[in-house]
Amino acid sequence: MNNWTSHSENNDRILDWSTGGLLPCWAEALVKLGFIFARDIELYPLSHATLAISLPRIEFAALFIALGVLKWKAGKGAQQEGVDKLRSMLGTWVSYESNGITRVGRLDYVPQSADYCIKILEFKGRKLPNFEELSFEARKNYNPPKSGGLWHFVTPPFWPTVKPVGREFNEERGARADQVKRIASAARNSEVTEKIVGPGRQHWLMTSREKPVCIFGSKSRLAEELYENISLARSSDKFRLSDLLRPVGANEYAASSHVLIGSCANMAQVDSETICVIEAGRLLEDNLRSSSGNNRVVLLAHSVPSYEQTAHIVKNAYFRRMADFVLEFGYRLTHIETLSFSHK
Amino acid sequence: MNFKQIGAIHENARHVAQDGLWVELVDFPELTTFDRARRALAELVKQHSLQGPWNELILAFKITHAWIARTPCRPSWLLKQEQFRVHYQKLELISRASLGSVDPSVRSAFESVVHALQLLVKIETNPVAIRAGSLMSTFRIGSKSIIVTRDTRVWDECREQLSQQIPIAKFDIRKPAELRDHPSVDYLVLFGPPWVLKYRNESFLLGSPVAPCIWMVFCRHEHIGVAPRTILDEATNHVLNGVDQLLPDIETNLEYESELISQHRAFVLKHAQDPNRTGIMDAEDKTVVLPLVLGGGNGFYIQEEGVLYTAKTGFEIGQRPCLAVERVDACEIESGMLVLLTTEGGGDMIPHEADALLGREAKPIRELELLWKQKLSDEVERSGVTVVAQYLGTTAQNIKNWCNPRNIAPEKLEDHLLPILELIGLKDLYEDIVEAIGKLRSAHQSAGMRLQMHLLKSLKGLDLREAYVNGFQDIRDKAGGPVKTLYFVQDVHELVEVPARLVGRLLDLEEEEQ
Repeated sequence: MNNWTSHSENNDRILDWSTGGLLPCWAEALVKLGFIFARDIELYPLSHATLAISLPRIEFAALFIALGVLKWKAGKGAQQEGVDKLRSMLGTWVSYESNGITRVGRLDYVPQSADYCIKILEFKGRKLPNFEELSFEARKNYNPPKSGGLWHFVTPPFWPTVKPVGREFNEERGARADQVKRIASAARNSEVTEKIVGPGRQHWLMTSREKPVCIFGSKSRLAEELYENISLARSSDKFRLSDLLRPVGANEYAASSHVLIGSCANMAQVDSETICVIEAGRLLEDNLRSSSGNNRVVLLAHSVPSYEQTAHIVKNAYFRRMADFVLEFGYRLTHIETLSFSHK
Repeated sequence: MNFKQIGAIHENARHVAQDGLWVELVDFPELTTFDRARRALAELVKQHSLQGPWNELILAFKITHAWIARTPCRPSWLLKQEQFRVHYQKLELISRASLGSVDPSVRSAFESVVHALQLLVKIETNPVAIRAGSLMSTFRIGSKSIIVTRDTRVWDECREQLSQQIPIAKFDIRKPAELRDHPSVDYLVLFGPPWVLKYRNESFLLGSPVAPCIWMVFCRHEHIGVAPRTILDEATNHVLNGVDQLLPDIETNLEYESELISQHRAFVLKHAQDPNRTGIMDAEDKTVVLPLVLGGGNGFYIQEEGVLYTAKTGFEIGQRPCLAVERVDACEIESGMLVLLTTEGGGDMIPHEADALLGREAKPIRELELLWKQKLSDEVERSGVTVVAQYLGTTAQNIKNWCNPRNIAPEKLEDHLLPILELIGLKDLYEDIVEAIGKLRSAHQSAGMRLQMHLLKSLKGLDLREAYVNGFQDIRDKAGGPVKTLYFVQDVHELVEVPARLVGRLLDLEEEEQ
């Protein structure tokens, strides 16, 4: 029996799935489940997995699961972008974060992909110059006076924290008033986005055209949920899930949409790489048949009248699973139960 | 519900999953005696294979026990209510007719039940109400509580009995179905043991709880049973009073419960409503439909690919204001929704609205319409409907329909209208009449849609609680227009094939057969 997540406890922490408590714990739990599911199915690409989640209510669940999937995808995308960026800084003086402390050192090794660590010759013990006052070139050419000779191996999740010492300035360009306004607004939004999805990921969200998730459920309700202003905990900031999930079909996200939303009644065929998130209803039996070629998350909500019926359908599918292959999610919340298995 | 309200329900669910349910047991010796006696009688009736009124009697006793044990109502009041009076008329019948011919053990058991019942009738305060009252007196001052009872007929009595026990308590009484989308409150009080929820299909009260603290008040002699926390893992049950519950054998107790009976009510239509039902049914066109069981004992077949309007509601104190009206595909309809169906009266307003749309053209068009219909009616009166129908090669019913001012004209103008005009001597006006019919049909269609939209708009903000409580609610637009009725969807059955003529009509459910 394969255990998908026996390795995951440490990785979960390192991979930074958390929004730092900005979302309520139930929403955070769903984001995490989506994140872990997307990550773990990549480890076993030859099989197709079903993750059933039993929870009190259906509202917002599909969207937070989708957000978790996007966080995983965006993290991966950001890592590859990070490799290219890091290579341009090879041999130069950088700052980076480790265990919550900002450190400095010389970037000495950058791998070809985000599967390995970068190496930074860590500097300790000498007062640093005021990098703010140095030019970009001067900062790149800055030679650390002394090193303790220790290599720091920095894992991909921390790569976004690696920067040339000091601050980078972009070439100034002329801009119209409306562009300035839009950029300022985007900057404010991106701060909130970064808080929720984690550092380094929003660039992928804003630019990638990947559509890794398709939600099948009540389209009208999902549309309302997407555009509801949600307040973050311990903050006056608000955000809309639409700005993160960027639904297909919305003009404002046309260049970088990620999430398809369809009806359970007319379930469209989607790419086999796409993760289907299905809001279980009376058509679940048909929906499971239509999505047998995909990895999928099935949401079973107690508040939905067909809860018992759909839960039994999932359990029957579980009993028909590939006998030697059971997924186990080490993670569970008191009131949100999961059942996962390979269906193909 | 918005994000915050959904979060509150999740938080409630977390509390319930962690702390479990809270139970308040009631000592009710008279009811315990009655329960033992009615179970003993049921055993003997089964043992001696007694049929007919005996089984009805056993059922009446099951219902009596359930009502007294699972509501705070006075037994003296409950047993005088219509539904019990009907049942207990049978008592008399049995005691007169068949008591002498049964085994002495049955007779003795029957007499025990009657004796226990006579004691119950004298009870003026239900111990369930006393216990519930003392429980509610411990609730935080200013907190919000909901009491759940299914039958609206006992709500006033429930309210009175609980208020007598604790006059300062503030609580609302709700049907279970109302709590599927209810915002969070502080306390939820349910009457009856946990297992009953499962068999009433009301486990959502625990799985999607409207309160972080759920109290269940029930009699000590009742079988407690268990409430699984999730179907995905049925071995995990809710903790009761902080103690894990073992899985007992509840199946053996089910035969003494009335709860199961309503679960399997068949979706059938009254014969009286559909006189053509037998005989020609096999030869009819059939279509695949979704049967909806609606409130008020109604049924409705909707085509698989059909569409209905549903009303979305919010919550205010004692109200369910309509937030929006949405179109939903038939396959998305779930029990607990409110669906909007036209009942009667729409046709009366449509001609007036259509005339307003036609403006100055309305008068000549209506005159032309009246002219050929009047002449056709005269011809029918002169020659008889059968002769006219034979002459025109159609049915008598069609001729009657075409004479009716509510019907604009035959569908196939060239095949049917032209021969009519030839018959009544108006052939020269054929083209004028066809043009008038076209305009009239278009105006009627637009008028119907305008009235419909007007009604849908006027629904917004309207209190729709009656639909949840009574199962249906009539809606009439202030400006007239069609009467629409909002029905509470009680159940959605599996797809079936039925004659096409039954689709889209409001039908009654046949009386439950015992």
